[in-house]
Amino acid sequence: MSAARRGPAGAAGGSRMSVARVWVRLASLLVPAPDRADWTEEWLAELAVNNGTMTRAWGALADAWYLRTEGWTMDVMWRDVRMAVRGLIRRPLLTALAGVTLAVGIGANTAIFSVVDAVLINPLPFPEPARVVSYNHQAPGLGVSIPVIPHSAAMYLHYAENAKSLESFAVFTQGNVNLISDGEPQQLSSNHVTYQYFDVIGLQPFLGRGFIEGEDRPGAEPVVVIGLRPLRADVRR
Amino acid sequence: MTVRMTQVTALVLRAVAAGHHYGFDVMETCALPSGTAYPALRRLEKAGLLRSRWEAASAAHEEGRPRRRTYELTALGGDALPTAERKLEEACRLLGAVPPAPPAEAG
Repeated sequence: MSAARRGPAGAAGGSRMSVARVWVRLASLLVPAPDRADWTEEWLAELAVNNGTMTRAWGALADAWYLRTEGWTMDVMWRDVRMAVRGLIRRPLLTALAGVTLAVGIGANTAIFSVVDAVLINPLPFPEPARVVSYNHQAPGLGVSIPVIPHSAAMYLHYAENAKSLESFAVFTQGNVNLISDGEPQQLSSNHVTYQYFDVIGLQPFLGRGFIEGEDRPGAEPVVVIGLRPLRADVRR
Repeated sequence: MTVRMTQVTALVLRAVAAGHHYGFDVMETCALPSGTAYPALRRLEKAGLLRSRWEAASAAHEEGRPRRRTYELTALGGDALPTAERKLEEACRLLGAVPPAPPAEAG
């Protein structure tokens, strides 16, 4: 137990006092060096003699700032800027090093924030993203060199039938298709998907319909859902 | 170096003339925040209307307190006093009030 325990009133008064003194000492850093010792002594003495609360000490910052900026004119400030630039030119290696440090620092921060923004802050662009899962096949025990084993159609059918904890289930491959209409042919990126794809991501086309069961079987009529961007480009033409 | 006589500088100058020699006393008498009163004191001192010095450390120690900086009017400050008075009277007139009595002499 501490032997020097102070009463609550005394402690509060004491801490307020010391906050004001710390404030004055911090503000004193702004005061030009030749005046600093006198300035600090004056403020601390006034606080000690009077009731040194923060209310009274607050203005020490304004006073210090006044002394610091006294005599600042555009000329003086431009002289400072020119001197700084000359200093940078005189030491190009140091300048380059500082520039690279800043660039790497800003770049790394931007990169990390981009990931944080995409992963943690912005949700995926469909409803209830927390219920959507994706998976890959791996077989470390077999000593297969490729990290992800391709997914077969048979495995899809097996999972679709037996994975009871999943509400809907879809596989897809990414690729490109050529769109030939009235104007120039254009290449669009595409997904080949199984019929429950839109159920999985929880979205439905706002024109027409999504895919229905059987449309992903061999021999079915080819059907397509076109994204808004290529559709607009085509319509505009 | 001259000082622009504003209402604040006029008020501070008159407070010192009336016998308030310490920064905090000036501030209390003028009912100004410390961040306004002190820069006004600095301006007046720089312009030569006020002079500041440290009081004797021995006298302060006898009273059990640190020494304080004191401000007093210079001859130049005395000359500027009528201007300050006019400035304050003008401010009071603009506000439609009667000029207040000069601050009481510091005890």
